[in-house]
Amino acid sequence: MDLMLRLAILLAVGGGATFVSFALRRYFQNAQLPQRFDRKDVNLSQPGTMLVEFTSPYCYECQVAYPLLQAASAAHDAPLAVIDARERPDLTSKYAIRTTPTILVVDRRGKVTSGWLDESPTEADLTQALLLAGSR
Amino acid sequence: MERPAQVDSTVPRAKAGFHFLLPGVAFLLGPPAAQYILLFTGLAMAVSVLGGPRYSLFGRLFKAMRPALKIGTGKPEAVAPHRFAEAIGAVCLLAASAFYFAGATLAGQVLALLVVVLALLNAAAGVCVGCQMYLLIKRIGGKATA
Repeated sequence: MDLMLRLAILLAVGGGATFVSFALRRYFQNAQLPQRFDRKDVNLSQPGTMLVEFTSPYCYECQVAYPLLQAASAAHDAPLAVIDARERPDLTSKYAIRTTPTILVVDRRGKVTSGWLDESPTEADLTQALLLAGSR
Repeated sequence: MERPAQVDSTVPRAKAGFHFLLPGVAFLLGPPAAQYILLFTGLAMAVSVLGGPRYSLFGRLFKAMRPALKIGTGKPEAVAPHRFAEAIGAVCLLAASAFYFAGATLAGQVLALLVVVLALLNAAAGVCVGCQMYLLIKRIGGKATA
């Protein structure tokens, strides 16, 4: 295989991968937190602040976030809804979820007051967010 | 609350830049330079996987270049999936080098190009296919080495 052919193959493969990379990057960068969350979507009738985590099966950060959310949920008496994005495409589509974990803190009126995209919060940030949502 | 060992997200992405660049150059140059470049890159990655960040040549190079490149720190990410991905890359590059040495140039080229594509996806978009494989293996009950 001569040099020019190798160069052409490398440019084609590299160019293709670069195009895919930038398309993916743009898609994920445009991810936004939803404004509201309807607790009926997760069959929750209990009023008050709640936590929502959108996860996916291969999401490592979701596994990191889960125990933190569980502890915060128990400490602040805020129910935690864990939604597998692949099992609930209806909710993923409704709330325009593009990345996991997407973590939402929802106040009693259903307004999303805080949230994290593609990362798990620190314990302090989560506590502050729950206190903020509870005070509204 | 205990969190798994973490790494600054910019480091694996920058390392992926080296993992893309060197096999790309090796593919372009062809034998006999290719097998030595692939062997060097594969060994550097293997040492990084086995020895940890302290022995990561490309990681240290990036950290030395970081101030000049004006790249800040990224978000913390779990280190285990990245090490697994790097291990896969090292195996592919060492195998590619062996194929080149054995005269099976086409097989070596295919493996080198595979690493180029995967590393480019990681470097440019932060999409780490090896990390996804690690999580998949963990999920189906196997034990991914990290």
